[in-house]
Amino acid sequence: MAGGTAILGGVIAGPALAIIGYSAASKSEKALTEAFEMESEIREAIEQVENGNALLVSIRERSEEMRAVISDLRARYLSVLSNAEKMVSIKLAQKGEAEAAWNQAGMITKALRKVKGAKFQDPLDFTSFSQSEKDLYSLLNLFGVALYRMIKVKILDEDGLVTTESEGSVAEARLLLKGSNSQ
Amino acid sequence: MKNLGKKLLSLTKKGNAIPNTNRGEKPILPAVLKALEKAPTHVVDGVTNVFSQVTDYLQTAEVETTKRTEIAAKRDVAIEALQNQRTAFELLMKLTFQERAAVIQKQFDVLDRAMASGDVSTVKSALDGMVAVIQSSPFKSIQEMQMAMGSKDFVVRLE
Repeated sequence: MAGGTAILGGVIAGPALAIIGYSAASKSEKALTEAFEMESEIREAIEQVENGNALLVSIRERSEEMRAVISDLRARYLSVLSNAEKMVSIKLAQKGEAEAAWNQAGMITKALRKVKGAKFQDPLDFTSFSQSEKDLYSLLNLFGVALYRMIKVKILDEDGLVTTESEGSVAEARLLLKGSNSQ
Repeated sequence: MKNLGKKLLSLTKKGNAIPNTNRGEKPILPAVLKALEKAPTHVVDGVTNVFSQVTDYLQTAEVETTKRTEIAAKRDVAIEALQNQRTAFELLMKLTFQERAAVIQKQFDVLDRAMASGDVSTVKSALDGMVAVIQSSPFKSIQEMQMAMGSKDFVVRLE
């Protein structure tokens, strides 16, 4: 009796379980496909992030390039500046001496200066500079202007975004790295 | 019963939905159909439902496998394209920065020689050149490459 019940139960339960099993398997197949799709999207996103990193690395290289050039130029500028400061300090000393001599001149000398219309020759007057002194002054100017122009070049603005000057170029780079989705 | 037989046969003919597990041997389906001819109705219904679920599952499995293959193919193409673009970009950037570094180094050499000899006009030229290099964006080469590749008139001349 019990055996018969078990067999009958098995006959009924077997197909039911098989149906449930196959139904679950069908749902699993669909779920597996969804998971597969999600995984693909994530892997593509990872590649896009890697491409973003490549772009950031090149922006960092650009910054490093600018830093190195400005730093090397600054070292030369400081050398020129040091020479210019020495020149100016010598000129200042000369000016002090010349002013003292000018002021300490006797009455006759002062009268003769007035008659001749002579004026005090300021050693700091550029026109009185020798050619090498003028060149030194020019060098100082050239370095100053060059450094100023270089420092003015911006890669990123205050908000950390790429400047409008570089924006177009970087946008192109980003487009290139964006991947097949944009193509 | 006949309807069930027709259905199963049509399924096996249409899409090979039911795999022939004993390939090369005597077909199992006619034997099953023959055995079911004498079976009670509720047993036939049960078997019908099971077969229906099996065929549904096999169809779903085939469809989903095809979808997954398609997804994998698209993903592989997209990833390959992204990786190739990254490689091209990195190479282009590397060569661009190398070229710029070489130019800047030459300009520094000229600058140092001019400073040593007191040649102000050459110092000016070297500094102007350096400023021009720094002001020009290295990313411009990307733009140029994009434009060249996008132009139908783009020709590579080998001389």
